[in-house]
Amino acid sequence: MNSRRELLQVIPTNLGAKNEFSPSRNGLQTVVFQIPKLPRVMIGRTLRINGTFGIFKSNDSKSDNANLWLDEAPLDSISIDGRIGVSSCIDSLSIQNLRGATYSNVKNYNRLCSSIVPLNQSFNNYINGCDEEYGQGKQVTQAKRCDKDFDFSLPVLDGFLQADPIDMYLTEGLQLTLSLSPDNFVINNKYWRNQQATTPNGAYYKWSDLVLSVETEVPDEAGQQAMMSNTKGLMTYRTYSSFYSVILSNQYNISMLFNTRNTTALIGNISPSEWINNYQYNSSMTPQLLYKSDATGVLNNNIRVNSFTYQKAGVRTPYDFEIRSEKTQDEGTADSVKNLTEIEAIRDGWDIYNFYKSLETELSNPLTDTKLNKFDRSKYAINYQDKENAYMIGVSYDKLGSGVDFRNQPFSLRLQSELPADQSFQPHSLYLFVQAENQIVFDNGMVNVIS
Amino acid sequence: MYKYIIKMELPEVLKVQPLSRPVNQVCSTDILQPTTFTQTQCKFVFDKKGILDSNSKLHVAQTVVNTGTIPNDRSGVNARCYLPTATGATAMVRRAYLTIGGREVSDLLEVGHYNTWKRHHYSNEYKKGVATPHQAGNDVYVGSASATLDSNNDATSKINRGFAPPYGTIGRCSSEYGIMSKTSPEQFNVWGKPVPALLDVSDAPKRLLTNDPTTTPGFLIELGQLCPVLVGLQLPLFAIEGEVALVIEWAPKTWGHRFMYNVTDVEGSAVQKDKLVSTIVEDEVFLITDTLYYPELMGEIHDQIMTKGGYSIPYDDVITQTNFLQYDVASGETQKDLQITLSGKRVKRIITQTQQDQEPVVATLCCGFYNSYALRRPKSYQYRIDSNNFYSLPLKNSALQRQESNAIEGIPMVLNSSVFSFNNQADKQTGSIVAPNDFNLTNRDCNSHIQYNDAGTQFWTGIKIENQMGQGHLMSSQPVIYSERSEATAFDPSDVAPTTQTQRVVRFFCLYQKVMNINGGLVEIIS
Repeated sequence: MNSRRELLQVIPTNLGAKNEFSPSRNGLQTVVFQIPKLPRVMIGRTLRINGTFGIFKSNDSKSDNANLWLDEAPLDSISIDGRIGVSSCIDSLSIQNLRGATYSNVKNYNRLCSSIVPLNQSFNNYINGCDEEYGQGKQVTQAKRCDKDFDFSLPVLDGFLQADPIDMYLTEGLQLTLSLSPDNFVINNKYWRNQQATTPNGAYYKWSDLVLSVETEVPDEAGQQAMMSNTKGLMTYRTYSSFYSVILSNQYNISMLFNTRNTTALIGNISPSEWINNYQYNSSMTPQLLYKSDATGVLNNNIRVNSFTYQKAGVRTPYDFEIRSEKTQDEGTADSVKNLTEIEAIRDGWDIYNFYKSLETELSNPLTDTKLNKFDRSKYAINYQDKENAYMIGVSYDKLGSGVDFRNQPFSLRLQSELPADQSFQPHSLYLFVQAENQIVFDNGMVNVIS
Repeated sequence: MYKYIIKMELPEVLKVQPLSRPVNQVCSTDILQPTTFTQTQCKFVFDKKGILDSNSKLHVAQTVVNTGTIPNDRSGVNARCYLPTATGATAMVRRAYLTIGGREVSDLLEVGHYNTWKRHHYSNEYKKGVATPHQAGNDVYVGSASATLDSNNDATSKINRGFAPPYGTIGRCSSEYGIMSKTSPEQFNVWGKPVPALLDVSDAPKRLLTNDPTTTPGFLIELGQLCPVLVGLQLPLFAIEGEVALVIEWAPKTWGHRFMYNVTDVEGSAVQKDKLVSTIVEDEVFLITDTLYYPELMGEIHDQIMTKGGYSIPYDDVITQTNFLQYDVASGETQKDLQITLSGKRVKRIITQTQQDQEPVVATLCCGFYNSYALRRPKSYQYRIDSNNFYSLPLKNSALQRQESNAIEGIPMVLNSSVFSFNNQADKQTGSIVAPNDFNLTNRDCNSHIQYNDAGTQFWTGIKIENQMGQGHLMSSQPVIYSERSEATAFDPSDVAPTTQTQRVVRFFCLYQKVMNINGGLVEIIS
């Protein structure tokens, strides 16, 4: 069968008067793309949401970070997260066919990206400003970038698209629905870095000129006829389910029912609940548990994490030991066992082995005010990365390619940490993403998704 | 054509890939001198022995002499010229072609420009650790800061370590502090003080070109960079009857082509760039050829080639087409169409370069003429193949244009986005940029040129036509039509300011499939 490459481009179906989406300004909080049912093969991992991104102060003016970023009390000095960039704008992602059958649905997609996107193939690529996909960059570079609108070409990190090429005819076309995040999730003023900063109430962001693009293989006439006559098929892919919980004490236990059959990995991250949807904090950041520093009055110091324990139906699975951290945390060295499990959960789940995470990000915050602060908020490194905490949790269940069955068997997580005696514990949000293998059976127009 | 390809599969030892099982192998490295050499070209003839490893390299060096006449004669003074930062040593070569039995097998025009595109796909680690030591160039960006030092002692100045805005720019690796040290003895009285000059970047002294053949550095260019046919092929020289020769034509000997100039020479005097002349050092031009021998397999390969029908080797060659576009500011947005003649060829990729060649503009760039200069305002473009639009909508989003460029080689370009286009720098409506704050590149110097001048200078675009199986598209008799909707503004650099018109040399590098049949010692090329 002969075929040719073609780039398919689709504009949103729910356009307003202009191709602009700004949840708090024009009320358009949802973006819908419909990809028609065509006898073609879609290369899902090339799918991108392209557009122009901009952030604005409440009076519609732009920030002036190039001049003011290091000022003592920057007025309305607004920016977005540098690690995940424009991905922070997507609150949830749904992929359906044009008849309404759902293939994949990821809530808190932006927090999922907080775990995946900071992994890099090259540290140099990350800091040298070559990214025109996610809109990533060091925080100071990102801040300058926000002074003007910029184009992005955002890959969609969903297992359905990242799997094998997709028969667009058999899948009955696709509908991508993106729910956009609130402004105060995306935009922040780095109050955490500088407590003199003025809260930028009313700041907002805007997506404009949106186009979805995806590479397709267009078969010759005979090939198209063959695709149209085929009515049966099976597709296997991995997708994420989202779970949310609030950690209310330093001795934390959670039990939940995933109800997924071939569970391949679990990844997650933590953020102080106060930081979510708050202009003063970066809602996409992934620190470990924090308590308030006496000196600054903000959540600044790490709560020492002693151990993680993962269980399935009351049995420690997949590790029959506690993943202990207290010694490395005391010493201020990278926590290698926890990192190993966490990175494997992503590498194995994505079949990607050259991702790495800079372990220096583990060492960002001090345990107490009396210890050396590894990340000095008042000074940024020119030739080096931001030492902002990328503390993930996660385990891989897919060493042999079969996954683990979590149907009717609850998952439990025990997180032991040690809060200094005179400190109070602030609520922290825990985002968990369970990756499991799904199967879709296509039979004469009927689509049956088996998870 | 494909009946030839499937004739006999190429043995592993003739491919550039790891061998599936251990094989006895002898590697002989020889120095091959050119049979003819002039200041315009040279020719190498390969010995009829063994298998030519495509990792073989051309060694080449040049001197740059300031030819100013007395009393301004500075020919004895080193002008500290350097190789164009995005291109490196391939800037010395304009054209390279491989002939077998007198027939051209592979012909690469504009070697320097084509390899500039290829170099953008090297990882930063490879550029820094391999490409730069072998071929010079200076194109790794790692974050930077302003060139301006803030001498105030207030809290903000302390926080920003004495650097003035703009914050958040990116540049080539340079000093974080620019502080005088004891290694600057003449400045012993200012130890510990920041000095703006120390914030600038320059190529390593060992890679700066001198005016003396005995001290000027030599560089290595891989054969695969000169002849695309050798990228995936080890040439079985022992079984080819005809003369196998590599002919190299040198690039023009003036600034911007073979080399770029520093504003001042080693004595600090201003350099008159038009007086600088490059000379290729004859004694330093030679091939370092690796010849491979597989004692147990050579007989079998020889037998296959001489008596059993030989091998058909598919490979990619490059057609280069050059056009010219002129943009009049007064005309506003206009559509421009260019035709690319490719009929009958199975084309895999088209790479499009839009070179700014006006000397006043090029003189400010570290990359010299090896640029693909974007317009300040974003443009949209479309390709039409066999009367069908390649894109359902013309591409206008610069990030999507970048992704399409990334798709061409299948490897993303490792290229600072501010060097690629003016996205996020120039005003989208007017095209204006107010230096230094609007640039995302630093205002620190690189080899005496301001780094933000490099913004938008590597806007390489193009299309990947081949399908997922690597098959190109067989072009009909109709030409491919490249059309763009674009607009020049008064802010686009040109030879006069404010700009009323600007121009681009539009160069298309088209990769298409060919087949080389080696049979009975003779080589046949099927296009």
